[in-house]
Amino acid sequence: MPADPYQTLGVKKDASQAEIQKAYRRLAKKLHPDLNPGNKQAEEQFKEVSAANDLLGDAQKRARFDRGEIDASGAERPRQRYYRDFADAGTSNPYASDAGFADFAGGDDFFSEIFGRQARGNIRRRGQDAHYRLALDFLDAINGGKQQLTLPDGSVLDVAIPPGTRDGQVLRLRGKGMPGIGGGPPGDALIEIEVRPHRIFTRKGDDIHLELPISLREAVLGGKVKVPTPSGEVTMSIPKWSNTGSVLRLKGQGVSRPNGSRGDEYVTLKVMLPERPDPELEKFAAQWHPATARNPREAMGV
Amino acid sequence: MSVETREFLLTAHLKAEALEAWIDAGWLAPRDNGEGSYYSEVDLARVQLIHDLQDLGVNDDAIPVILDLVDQLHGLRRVLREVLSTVTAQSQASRHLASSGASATHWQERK
Repeated sequence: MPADPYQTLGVKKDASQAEIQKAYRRLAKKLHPDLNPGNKQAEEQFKEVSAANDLLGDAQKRARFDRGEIDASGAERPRQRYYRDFADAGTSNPYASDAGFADFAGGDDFFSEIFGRQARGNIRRRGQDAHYRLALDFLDAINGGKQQLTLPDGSVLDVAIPPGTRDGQVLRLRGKGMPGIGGGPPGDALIEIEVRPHRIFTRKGDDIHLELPISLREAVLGGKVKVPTPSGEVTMSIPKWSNTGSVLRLKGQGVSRPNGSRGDEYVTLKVMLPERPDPELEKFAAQWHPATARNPREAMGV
Repeated sequence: MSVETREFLLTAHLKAEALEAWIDAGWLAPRDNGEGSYYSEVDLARVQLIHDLQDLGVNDDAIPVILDLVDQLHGLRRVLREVLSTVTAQSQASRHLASSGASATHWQERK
């Protein structure tokens, strides 16, 4: 049952048409949904006030209502749309205005990021990543350190090489890529590492492999020899009767791992005869008839 | 939904001269799709708002003032909504950080 339209408009039964119009306009200006975008109740109240005005604002309808010929029901006028329903829809609103907050967007802080994003319509973007290649000497990659990369524009980028860097590894330098768009953060520099081969060392995973020439005398009698490693030379004991192909392990002399441990160095022995013919050795070999002599090619069946 | 000028005039209960005057005054700003002006629901709703304001006795000089303030209000509402959702997201993220920080401490203690 609709409320009494006189009560809705707050006028007396004998109010003049001018008074009714004045009361309606006063209420409607306060209650119009588009002037109260966040107030859901305003729409219901505005409907009631509009319906009351439709009835009482028209002198003929009002007279029939006063005589009891019509009642207040059915007088509601269907309302199809309010501006607020479209204006609040966000970016699709062509009448959108940032004038109410444009002055907040000047600084460089949290708020300007949000307001700026609104004002510029989301063109704030992170810069692109830049891709570079850097060739490293074998030992520089294993031991790590600072390297300089000269960029195409002539500027120089300091690159920290972590110890144990591998061939093909990509280092990421945050914020060293292309500048951002519309105040967005810069991209990253991605540096692909190429490691040049070494004259004597080869790398397998975190281990270093090395072929170590030893003399015949060292092979037969054993002894201490100096061995190169990526971090310098160390002394290693060769057991007696170490043949070509024997592999000795130097624990912890390989490549540093990120967790602080290290790989090993594997030393493959290679027995070397004296470079020049040695008459004494020839004489010895000629007289040497070992009791346990075996054919070293036995396994080949020849 | 986009509509052409003729259909818009009918739907909006607007005379062609009024439309022209309103566009000149900046009350309405139809978009151009290359084949001419086109209108959408937001323009119809805006016309209805202008009609309502005129019915309420608002004179024509005051209408652009009201429209401009209403548009600014909607802009602010949109930004406020975004600020609130950002703040909500950040407070959720910091809660998440706080809980993972606690587990890191626990891990160090065990170590």
